[in-house]
Formats: sequence, C-alpha cells, structure tokens
Amino acid sequence: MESAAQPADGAGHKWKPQDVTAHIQRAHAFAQTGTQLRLETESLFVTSSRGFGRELPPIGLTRPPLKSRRYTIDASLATGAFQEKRDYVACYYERVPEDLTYPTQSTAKISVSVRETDEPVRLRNQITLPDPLRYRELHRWGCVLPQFNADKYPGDNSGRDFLNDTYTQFSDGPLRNEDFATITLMNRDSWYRDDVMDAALALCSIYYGADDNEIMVVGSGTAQAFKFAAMADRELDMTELRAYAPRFQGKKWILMPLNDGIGGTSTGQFQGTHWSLLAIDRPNKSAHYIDGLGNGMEKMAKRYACALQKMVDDEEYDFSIEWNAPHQWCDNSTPFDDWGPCGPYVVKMIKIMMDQIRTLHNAGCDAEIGFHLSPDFRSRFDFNSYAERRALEYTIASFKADQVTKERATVHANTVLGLPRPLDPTKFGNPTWPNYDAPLFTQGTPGCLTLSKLRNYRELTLRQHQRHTSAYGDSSSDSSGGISINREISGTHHRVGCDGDQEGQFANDIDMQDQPVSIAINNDRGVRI
Amino acid sequence: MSDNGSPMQQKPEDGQQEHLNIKVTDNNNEVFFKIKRTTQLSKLMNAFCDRQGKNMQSVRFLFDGQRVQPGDSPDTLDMQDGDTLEVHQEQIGGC
Repeated sequence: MESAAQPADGAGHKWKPQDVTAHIQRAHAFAQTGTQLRLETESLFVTSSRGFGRELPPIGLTRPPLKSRRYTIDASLATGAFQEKRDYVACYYERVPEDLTYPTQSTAKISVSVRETDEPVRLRNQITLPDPLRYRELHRWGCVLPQFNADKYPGDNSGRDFLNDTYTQFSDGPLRNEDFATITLMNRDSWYRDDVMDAALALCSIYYGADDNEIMVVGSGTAQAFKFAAMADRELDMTELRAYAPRFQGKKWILMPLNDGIGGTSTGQFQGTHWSLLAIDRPNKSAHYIDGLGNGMEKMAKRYACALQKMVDDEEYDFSIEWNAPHQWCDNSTPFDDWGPCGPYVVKMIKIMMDQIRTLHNAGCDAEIGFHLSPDFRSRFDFNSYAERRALEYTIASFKADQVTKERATVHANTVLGLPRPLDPTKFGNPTWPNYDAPLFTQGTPGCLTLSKLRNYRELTLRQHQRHTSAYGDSSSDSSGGISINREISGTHHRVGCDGDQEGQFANDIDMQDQPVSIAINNDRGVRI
Repeated sequence: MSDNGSPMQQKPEDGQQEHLNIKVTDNNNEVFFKIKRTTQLSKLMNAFCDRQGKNMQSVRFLFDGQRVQPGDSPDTLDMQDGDTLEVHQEQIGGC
C-alpha cells in the first residue's frame, strides 16, 4: 500500500494514512510506455511520450524486424519559444561518448506541501534523447564549429593541441581546426592555405561531379610533385612526370590552382603569397592563365602548361593570358577589407568553370565549352570574397556534420542492437553531396554588416536559410513513419501525431538528417626508427 | 628458451622484408630511414622535422603525389624498399 505524504503545514495531528495506490495507478495508466523522452534547446523542443519504456530503438531497419511501435512527438522550432537558453553547444564532438545503456527506472518526486483533494502524482520517468548528433537535422552551428580562440581543450591539461587536431578529412588530406578557423578571417591570417584550397577543390569535385564530367581538378599535392620533378635537373623529368599520366586519363578539362610558393623546400621559409589558376582545355588544345592581379605568375603557368601538355598530350597548347579576368580587389563587392581575396577568387572561378562544363556537357554541347573570358565577363562575375569564405566554411561544416552523423548513427545502432562498435572510421565513407545544404555553397551576397555582428550574422543567416530551404520543410511534412519535426513561426508548440506502424523502423525518415621510438644514427647518414 | 622465438624474430611469410629503407628528401636534403613495414609514418615524419628544425604543420609529405597521413604505414601505402617520400613546404596565398 502506498500512502500519501503527511502535510507539513501544522495539520499533521489530523493526518490519517490514506491508500493512494489506486490513485497512482490511475495516473500511470500506461506504466510500461509512459516514459517521456525530451530534448530542449533554445530553438527546439522535442518530447516523445511513448515507445521508449522498454528499450532504446535503433535508427535503421533490423532483420528480423523489431515489433511495431506507436509513439507521438511534440516538436517546436520556434525561435525564442523557450526561456531556457540551452542548445547543442553541449554536444561538442570532442565530448566523451555518452553511456547509451538504458537508464534504470527512476522516479522524480514533487517535494512541495500541498493540500488537495487528489494527492499529487509522481512525474513520469524522463530520459534525455540519446546522442542528438546522430541526426543530421540536429546539428547546429554551435557544435560543428571548432572552439575559436582556444588552443587547448577546456579542462584538458595533457598538452594536447586543439588547433593542430584534424577538423575533418578530405580525399587530398586533412583540414586542421586552425585551418578551418581561418577561412572567414579577413586579416593577414586569412590567406588561404593549401589545405583550405584542397578542401574547396574536393567539395567542388563532389558537387559538380568532376569524374562524371571528365574534369580533373589538381590539388596542391600533385602540383607540388610536378614542380619537384621539374626541379631535379632543372629540366622536366618526363619519366617521373609520366607516372602521373594515368590520373589525367579520360579528362578533357584540367583545372590547376597555382601558388607562387610551389616547390618550396622544407628548409626554405618562402611559402607563397598568391593563388592563380591554370585551366587546360584539352579538346581545343588551349591553356588559359587566369590571375586576379594581372600576370605575375605567367612564367610559372607557362611551365606547368608545358609539363602538362608533354605528359598527357605531347601536343602544343595555345597559351593565353586572360586579360579580361576580373580584378580580385576592384571587382570584389565584399563590404569588408579582405587582406587575401585571391584564394576565394580562384575557388569562385573554378566553380564557374565547372558549372559551365557540367551544364554544357550534360546538354551534349561539349564543343561550346571554352575557358576564354569575354569582355563582359567582369560584369557577370559577381564576386564577394567574404560570401565565398562563408559559403566554404559552412559547406565544410556540413561535410563534417554528415560524417559525424553517419558515424554516431552507426555506433548507436550497433550499441542498442548489441553489436560491436565499429572502430575503423573509414568504414563510414565520405558523405555524398545530396546530403549537404548545397545552396549554401552558392548563397547570395550578404548586406553590409559590422564586424562585431559577424558571428551573430552567421547564426542568423543559417537559421533563416534553414527556415526557407524546402528540403527542411519537406523533412517534416513527408515523413510517413518516424520522428517528424514541424517548424512554425508563432512560438507555440505544434503537436504532430505519428503512427509508427512500420516494421522495426524508427526515425529513419528523419531527413534532417606499434615499438617505442628509438632513433639511432645508422652509419653516417641513416636514421633507424 | 622458447622454440618459437619472439614475434620480432619471425620473418614474414610472404617474402617481403620486415624493414624498408625509405628516402625522405626535400630536394635539398636527403635522409634515409630504416623503418618497419607496420610502423606509423608519423614517427618518420616527426624524426625528419626534428632533424630539419621544422614544424610538422608547415610541411607536406607526399608519396606518389598523394599526401601521407601520420597514421599511414609502409604497408598501407604499399611502399617498397628504396621508395622516396617528398617533403614540401606548405603553400599559402592571399594577395
């Protein structure tokens, strides 16, 4: 028998124990399914009142399928609907993975003095949404950004250098946290590094389907190797160069960013100062040098064009300097002083060229593809270096969010199904472009903003974009099974009932988505590890 | 004493050498390393940078034109005895 608590207001002398078991049972009609799952943030509130009482379900389908479930979700994404300022910043990627073991039944009691006809009932069990970052939709700007202005992990005294850790991995190499943090800077530190350029090239290659459209985008590594081969005897080492020829097999158009620091040795201090672009049109046997500052790297461009033609075609290319190329500063509409716009300039030019190739190639008009810039190209260039930087930053963050989502979803599913956790991150593979917010990579130019508002502006534009991007809207209305999220403007909750009668499927319709080192000198010049 | 010997003394069954000689060059300097096939190349990279007085973050190690990751090993890159790692300076540009 359960008895109601004795009042603490001086009326205890009149207190007689009362059996409230029936009362409690009435209040918990669905004891096995009554657990509430909730997630509350500044801009999102999700509760689920059913379906979590027995065990945590996996995200995907299982075989054999799990039993059918029925659950309801309340969700609101209204900005400012909740006073508690909680957001996913608590869900940093570096956080220790949480324990996904289903919590033991705990009971929250109300410790207030009451005198009511009906005794207060206990709150239903509540659990938090396990690992929200396994859903692509629940990734927010705050958690995909590295901790700026921090060179160490908070509370970590082990000396681990945060800035040198890898932010995300691309096909051509890693992008460090420090690299990522410099993308949208506008001062001297904002100069694009080779890792940033390679990241942009990798994303362009995915987005514009470089392989399908017979485009070769040459990263900094291959460009360095070209120079290295040329440096050996001050003449082109064609034997070594031709080892790279298979990579260019079947590619009609070659785009190669050039840096005046290419070929710098590890003992030198010169790292380069400028990015320009060399575009090879193999069907038309032409090479185009495009530079936002004129023709300062013409000699290098000619040398690379020569190396490429000997390597892949062994025929002459018509080399031309594109004098109609827009100027990186004069034709830059950024409202800020950008100390290093040549990197964004080259990325923008590559995007325009790849877009042109993709469009005409898909239309079967390969003959119309050309890299010559017409006199009116400058007026159509529409270059804003800050917008380019911001678009690249967000696209890379989206790329990482996609990777983390896949990894965490797999770990969660394996955990709740009792399978071993995957240890090899490469198993998850690279995300494919359709999962990105592709329009952001080409989003419009922002209005004039003061620097102090930049960070707020990023968050604001992101939210505005999410609110107006149809892909997000579709994620709610088209969900036929799992959790669906509804967006609203009014600031009130909007209840969405879902009958999850699909077999063993849960939330799958969310569209948000070696020997210690011993070094010994070996004879006179060898080192043994 | 065990007849089996330690794993270190065992020779690979496929006839491949257990140790490789790898040349690391930046076109000015050449350093030769003898390294186990399964040893992470991060050790080699760190050793080279220490000898040259360079910051690991400011150089790029390339093998056959591809970036070498610290977690790579000669086995994962299918390196052969006598292969060369190229070392390049980080590129940067802005004006």
